[in-house]
Amino acid sequence: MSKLFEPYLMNVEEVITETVDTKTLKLGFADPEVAEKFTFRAGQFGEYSVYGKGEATFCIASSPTRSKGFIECSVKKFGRVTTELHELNVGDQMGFRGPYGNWFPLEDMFGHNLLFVAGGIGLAPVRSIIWNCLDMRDKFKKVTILYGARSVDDLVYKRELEEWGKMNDVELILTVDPGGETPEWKGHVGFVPTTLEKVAPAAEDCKVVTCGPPIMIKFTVLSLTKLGFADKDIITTLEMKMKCGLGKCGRCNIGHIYVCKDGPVFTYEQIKQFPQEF
Amino acid sequence: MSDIENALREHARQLLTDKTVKAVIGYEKGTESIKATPAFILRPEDADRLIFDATCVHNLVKFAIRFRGKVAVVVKVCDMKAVISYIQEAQKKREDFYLIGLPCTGIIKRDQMIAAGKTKLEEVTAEFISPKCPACDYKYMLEPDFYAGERQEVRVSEVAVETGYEVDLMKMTLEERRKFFDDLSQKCIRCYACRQTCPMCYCLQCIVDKNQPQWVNHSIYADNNQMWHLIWAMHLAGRCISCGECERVCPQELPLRVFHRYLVAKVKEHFDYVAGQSTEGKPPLNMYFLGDTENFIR
Amino acid sequence: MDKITKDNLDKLAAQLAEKQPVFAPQEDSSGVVAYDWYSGKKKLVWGVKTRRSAKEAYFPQSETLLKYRIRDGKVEQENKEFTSALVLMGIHPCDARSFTMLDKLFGWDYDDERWQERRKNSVIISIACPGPISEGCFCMNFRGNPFGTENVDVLLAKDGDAYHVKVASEKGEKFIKDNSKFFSEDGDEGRFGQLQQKAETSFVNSPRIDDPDIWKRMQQNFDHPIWRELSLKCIECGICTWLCCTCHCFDIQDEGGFGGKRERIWDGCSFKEFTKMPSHQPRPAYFQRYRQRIMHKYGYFVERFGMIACVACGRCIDHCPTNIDITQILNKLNQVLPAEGEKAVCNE
Repeated sequence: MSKLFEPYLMNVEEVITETVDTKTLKLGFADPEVAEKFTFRAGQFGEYSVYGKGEATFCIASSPTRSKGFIECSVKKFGRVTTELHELNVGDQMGFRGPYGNWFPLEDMFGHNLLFVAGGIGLAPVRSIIWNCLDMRDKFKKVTILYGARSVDDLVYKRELEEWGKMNDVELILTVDPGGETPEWKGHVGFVPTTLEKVAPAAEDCKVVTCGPPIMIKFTVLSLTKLGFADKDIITTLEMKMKCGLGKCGRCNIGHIYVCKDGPVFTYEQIKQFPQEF
Repeated sequence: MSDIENALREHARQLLTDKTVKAVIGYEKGTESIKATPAFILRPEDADRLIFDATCVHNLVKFAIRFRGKVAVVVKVCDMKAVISYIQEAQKKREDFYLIGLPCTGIIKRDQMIAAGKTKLEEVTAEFISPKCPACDYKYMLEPDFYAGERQEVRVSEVAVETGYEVDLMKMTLEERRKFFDDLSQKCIRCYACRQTCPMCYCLQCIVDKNQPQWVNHSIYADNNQMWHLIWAMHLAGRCISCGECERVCPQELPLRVFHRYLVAKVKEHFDYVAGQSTEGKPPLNMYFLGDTENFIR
Repeated sequence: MDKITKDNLDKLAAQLAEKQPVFAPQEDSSGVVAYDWYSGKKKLVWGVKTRRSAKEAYFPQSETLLKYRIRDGKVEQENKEFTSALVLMGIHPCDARSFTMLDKLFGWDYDDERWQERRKNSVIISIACPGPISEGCFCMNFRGNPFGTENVDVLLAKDGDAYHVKVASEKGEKFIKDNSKFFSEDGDEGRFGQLQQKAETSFVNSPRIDDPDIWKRMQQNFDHPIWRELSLKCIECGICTWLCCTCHCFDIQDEGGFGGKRERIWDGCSFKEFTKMPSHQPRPAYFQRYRQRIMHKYGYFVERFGMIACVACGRCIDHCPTNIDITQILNKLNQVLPAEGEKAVCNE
């Protein structure tokens, strides 16, 4: 018998509707032994399965410092499996395989300023490292979070954005795309890279974690470079279609780099050396 | 080197020098015995690679639809039907093709020849000619832009018939058909070479590759394979041009044309229509006419 | 040295099949000779180039990973057991050699027990090739050997109606001892050596790759326009992938509704849907997928595991519908790509 592809059974403990097409699921391990032993690092991902429909890859959106016996994942409704994940109710069961991949280099970030830049659903993997860092607040200097979405409705983790905004040792900058603001909107208006350049956080001694749609990452990285951030200080997580999550199905490679094994977390310095295949 | 090849190369050279076409798609010598391979000639100096003989079994028209702009394609009579179908189904216009016809006297069944130990073209005899060739009437249903070599006589024969086909669904009982289909489904490995080489299969996303909903599962158990073959046969009903490419490429040597031949005969019987004959033709299963009798709706 | 007659070899296969699955080349109703599980219904055919490779014994095209049932939203899953004690008979030496590469992949960090248990608990009896047994064969020109014993337990060399038997491992020794009634002791080592020499020297006209170690040059010239030209003939079917000894990419798909199974099935990088995501498609064009195939086998695999993922069995050359010849492709790349350290000027 081989346990390699056998998922852990998970109970859906909570379903939070973030936006019209995004939900966050809180998943508890059905097996108490697994719940006790399971650990992971911020940035790792897993294969979430709906039995009968398939598996899909998402990061683990909760922080290891706050996830004893459960994990959280945020799912945007895109295709077959994600549509089914949206149909799950509290009390249903589904599967989870993981944790796979590498993680955010937390130890390298100690003692530095931190800047988190995220767009849309890209806040999910970044949220994991944000809470991880905030739970060890004294290890870091200045913490800035810049988050943007297409419109006010599309902002995810609204309750947590509120919480971060209230913290007095965290600077929270919110922005929505032009046309997405409401009359009551008090944040910035503009694409994430544009707002980034407007706010111009200091590049000195600062590590950046960024995630979002590929096009956003591309322009954000250009803006960060313009602002003086070093390539090795820009950290992002990449997305390629994955199936096995463990380096065997041959799907997720960019050149000889396997996103599921060598990633999904990479620095911009590493990404610049990849063949331009994604 | 024959007169046909001479004429072909000369003309290809001219077409490329004058830049009348972007590329000339023809045949060149393959890397194994009695094998030809599609050639994409982009420069006039490469035109000498072109050949034409009985090893030129491929239907090149599907390659032509990958190019934008005008391309020249070497077409046998059986291949011309694909050109006509593309024009019928509004995939291409006549102006997109520069058609080069030539006198073809039949193509070989390479695997049978190799199995019989024959590795030279001179050793070919009637039993090694492809089953579709005896039915050919040598008549191009669309006039080519250039004919390389001497024009072939139009064959006058009573009944042009394919030979070497023992399996005929119409002569089988239901039990025999079931057994035949089960046997075929057990052997299929779903490589989709049949679909990829079929000129009439040009859907951007095939129905079996859709997953919302997943119409056909990808695992190769016999029931899934049966679904694939039935869907494929039905999607080609009234459109199959009997080029025989599917059977030629199948690595498991499945008798794939059995279903298509059956449906070609049925469509002819019920709608008096055969695909690939004329650009004005209207494939009955693709079209709807106000006068259609709907006696199947009761 | 022992010997076994062809008749006894057939009988041995039949007897072994009573206790455990036997994987041997058999002829199906279309006349195609391919490896399959022995059932007694098809004729055993030794020494003919099989259509598909032997990786199917350990890595079937479709394999059930688990079965599940959903009741009131609750899931019961049952991990599928598998048999690992197998006998592979009549395997070509190139197929056996491919297991070295696949061992590396299926043991990379995460152990795929389905592969490893089967490898560990099976016996491989290989039949040496008297030379190239198909036009595409070129193992002797590419780090292989028609009498190769890599991963082989017992090697048989045909001599008339019988086979000289060479023991290639302890497991092979035990196998012969356990089945000694089928073997006789009149094998001839000298004759075996003669047959081997004859086989090894008969690859003169076989395909040849001038320089297979062009990984660095391919990497440095990733965007070279030659890829567009090389991939023009490809019709993107799955034949080369399905028939290849070392191709291993797969998909995991669920089948069923409230009850069903999860299957692992072969997949290929030549298909459009392989890397397609709702957000974007990294390889929309033909040449990108073809480049991925070549670079994975002759490049990325080398980078990761130190060996080229190709055993020169030549099945892809024999059965490609448009006669794309891998040796031609690599020789063209060798010709066109600049030397290591130089980058080509891309003028397209």
